[in-house]
Amino acid sequence: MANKYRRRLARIVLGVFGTLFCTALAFPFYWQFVTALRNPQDLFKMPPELFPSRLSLTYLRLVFAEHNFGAYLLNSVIVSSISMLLSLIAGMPAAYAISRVHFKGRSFWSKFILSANMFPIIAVATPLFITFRSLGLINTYAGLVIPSMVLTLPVTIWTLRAFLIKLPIELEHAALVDGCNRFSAFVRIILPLIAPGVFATAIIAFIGAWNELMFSLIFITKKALRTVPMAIAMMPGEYSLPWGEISAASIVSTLPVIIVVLICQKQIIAGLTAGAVKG
Amino acid sequence: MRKENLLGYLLIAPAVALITFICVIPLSQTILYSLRYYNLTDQANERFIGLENYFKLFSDSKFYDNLANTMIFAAVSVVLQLLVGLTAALLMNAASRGAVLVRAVVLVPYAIPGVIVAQMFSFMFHGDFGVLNALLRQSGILSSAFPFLAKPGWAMACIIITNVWKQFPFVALLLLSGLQTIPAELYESAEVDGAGALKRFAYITLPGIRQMVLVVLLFRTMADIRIFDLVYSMTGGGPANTTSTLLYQAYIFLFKDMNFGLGSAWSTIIFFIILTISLIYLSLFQKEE
Amino acid sequence: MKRSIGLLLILAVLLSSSACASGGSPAAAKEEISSQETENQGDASQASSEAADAKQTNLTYVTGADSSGTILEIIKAAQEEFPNVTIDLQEIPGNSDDIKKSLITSLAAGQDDPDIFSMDVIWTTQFASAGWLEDLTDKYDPALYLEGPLSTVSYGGKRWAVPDYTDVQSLFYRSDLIDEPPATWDDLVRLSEEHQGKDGIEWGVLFQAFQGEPIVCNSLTFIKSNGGEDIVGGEVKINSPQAKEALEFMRSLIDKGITSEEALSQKPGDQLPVFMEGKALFMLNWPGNYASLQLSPESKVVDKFSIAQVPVGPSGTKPGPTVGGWNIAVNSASDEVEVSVEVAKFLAGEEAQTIRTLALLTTPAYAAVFDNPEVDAANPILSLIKASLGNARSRPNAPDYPAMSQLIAVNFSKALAKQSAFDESLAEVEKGMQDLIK
Repeated sequence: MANKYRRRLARIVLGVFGTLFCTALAFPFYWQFVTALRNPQDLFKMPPELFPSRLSLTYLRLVFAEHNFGAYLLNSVIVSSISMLLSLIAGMPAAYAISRVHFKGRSFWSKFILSANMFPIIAVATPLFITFRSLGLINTYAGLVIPSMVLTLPVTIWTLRAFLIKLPIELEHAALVDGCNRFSAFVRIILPLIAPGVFATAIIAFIGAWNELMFSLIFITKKALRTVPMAIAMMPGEYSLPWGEISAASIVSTLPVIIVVLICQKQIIAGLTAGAVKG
Repeated sequence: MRKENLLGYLLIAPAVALITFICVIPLSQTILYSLRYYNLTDQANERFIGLENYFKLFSDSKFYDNLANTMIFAAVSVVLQLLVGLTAALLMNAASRGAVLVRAVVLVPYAIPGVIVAQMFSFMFHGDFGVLNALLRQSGILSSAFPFLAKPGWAMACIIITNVWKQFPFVALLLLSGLQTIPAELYESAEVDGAGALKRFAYITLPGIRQMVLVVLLFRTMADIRIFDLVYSMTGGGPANTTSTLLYQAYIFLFKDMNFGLGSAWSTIIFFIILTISLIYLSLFQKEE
Repeated sequence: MKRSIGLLLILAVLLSSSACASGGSPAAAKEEISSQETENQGDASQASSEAADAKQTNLTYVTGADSSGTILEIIKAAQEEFPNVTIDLQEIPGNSDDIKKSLITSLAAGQDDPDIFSMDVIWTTQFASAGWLEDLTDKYDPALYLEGPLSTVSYGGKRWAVPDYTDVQSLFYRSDLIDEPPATWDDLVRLSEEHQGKDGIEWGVLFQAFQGEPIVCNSLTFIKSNGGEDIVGGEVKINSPQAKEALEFMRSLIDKGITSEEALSQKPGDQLPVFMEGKALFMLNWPGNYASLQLSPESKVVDKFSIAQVPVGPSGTKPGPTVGGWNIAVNSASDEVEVSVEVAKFLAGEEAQTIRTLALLTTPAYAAVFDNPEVDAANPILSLIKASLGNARSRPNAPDYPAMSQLIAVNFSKALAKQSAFDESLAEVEKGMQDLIK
């Protein structure tokens, strides 16, 4: 009996704590959201209104009216999706190799991969620009995709590695005995077991590319190839900081990502895990 | 064995090729620049000068100030990100009701572009129209506005908070994926054996995500030592240079002074600092295995 | 499972092939039209007939972001003037530092693009020393431009750019509350104290001391309005009693509660909302902000403010406001230097500057634009700015200016944040500047 009460109490405490924790973390976004919906006359009210007394769609309308925002969203979706896919396609085999294949120099190469996240990117802007120009990658989607995906490759590889080394090698051996080759053993036995890791790295790769600005500013000069962060960065002028409009744009660009991820996660994880049952 | 070698190389080849092309080649270029007198405003005198840029760097008191600022920023950021991220991951894993909401809360900061986050927080910390001051004043904690970003010490706290908010989702997502691989049966049998929540956390949860914690620590440390954008847009290294970091100073040499030699030397040193710390982490990894 | 992997692969291939063919994407196609519509739509028949006998030159023009469409309008005018030239406008977002970062990346790579670019007044010496600028000394008549802006394109006895628009730090004041703007620092303090706490006025004076260009521009304005100097005839003169007095005055404004300590973290844009809300009596800022204050829907001070020359300190004799603004330069590596020079002259010429002044209410550098009655009607403060321009002072004109600027920013920020003594900071700056000027 006492146990039951204790458990209920624990659940309440958890609920209260969880609510407070989430409220605190969600607050900046709430604030941004409210900013986007403010009446222009209230935007910089001193002190600010915590709960706006009146709302307006002025800024949201401006985002869609004045700017080619739909096209930029499309660019971002394309670039981020390809980056994510390529990051997984190049990352999964590499992760498998450094955790399961006993090749010479394995330890060196697994560290080598990390070097991508060790150097300060701004320091190499000019050398990179020269390389990309000579390869004709300026003003192409590829020029956006390649740097973003490369920068998320190490996380992808090392996360999946952490999953792979935890799996008992016997699982794979059993599959090999059953007549699978290594590839189908990976797809049928291992992939479903590391599905949560694949999903997490996919989100990280997608959002990493979604927010990339540094390279886009160097490699993209054509208006039509602008991504969402670039478009938002273009909004302030020398003498103007249209904060209401920028807030609205940031909301417009953030919500789709979150909705897609929330809708997709069940399907993706279910899909990946279902493979195991069938196989 | 030879077949195993071939397979290994084949599988890592695409990743290694891309990383070499995008990162390692430009990096070696940067290291070469760092050994030269290479000032864009004085290109006639460009020449090899050996380690002179490094001597200059190590005899500059700015280097040690920036190093200290960078290390404080990175250490506090990483610890807080880990705490907040772990809490969020545990909540996501445990919550049955409102799970979607918790996930949304975790994803939001990650999905907002960094430039916006910096301006968002600058305005939230603002003394006159910022919401933080408004809340503190309405609740009677403060009687007048406190200029958070203008006070040495507090400014650093501000950029750390901003950074933690922006980056904790990375930690939460990865740790959650680690939590999801812990079989529920482990918890159930532990409960049958009478293990309390803390014990279960210490003996099942933590060991279960240990590898992920190390991955997260490694990547967050590598990223936070290279802090640049928040300093650039929120403080400019001020007030009184208390938030200036190594990479921000490197940026000043590279793009304000157009001194590519010296700027490259600073960048190279940042690389070696990160390399050293990473190798320390990695030795932890290996002990683990 | 195999099937889904296959699908995934097909999807990846499809997506990546579309990536390679970026030029063919729907968004890209749209762009081709919009970027050249200035040329094609304007006079399609003429353009096509002329294309037959004259070769078409393609030029790239890089400038800061402009969401108002004014730059496009200027380009349109340029296309009419130069039908054989296609101007590709590339906007770079962000502040001056962001634009510089992007420009340096392509210029340091020896790019022949951009052919023409906008250049912050403080880059002239550096870019000229780097050999990136085409010498324009004999290419245009300097008498057409105001003297202040002209000084910002000159270095080493040559002119490296055409002045485009200028800006000079001025004192914004609430003309609905104050009849006569303050002429001296004493007046500034007296009026502030009189009005603070009344009519919604919370702060007397706003200035910006963000560690970077803002603190440099603002403190140099105070110092030079108090008889101080930075560099005179190649000699560093920054460490003077006048300069110390000026810095002390800035800090005293904070200590007296006339200025918010927030100033230490503020850039011009962060602070504008406070004045816009009607919470400040005075604001030291760039008149280029006039349009924001007068026209944006957030503003509550529409028609309630004006500008004046910055007040003079007790040891000074006249105002010494810092001058800013942008010039238009030609890339010396451009493969079309001749045409680029002509186009650059047009982009900073009378017609272009008139368009810009009318639309963005900035201050032209082209003297005749001031005499245009239309311009005068659109921007009533223009004549006031012209008076300020007579006293305008540029920041140190040296190739190592950014290093000096950083030195000033760090040390003055320390002084104003009370982390080091004023004497010490000034001595530190003086020493550092002497090393740099050698």
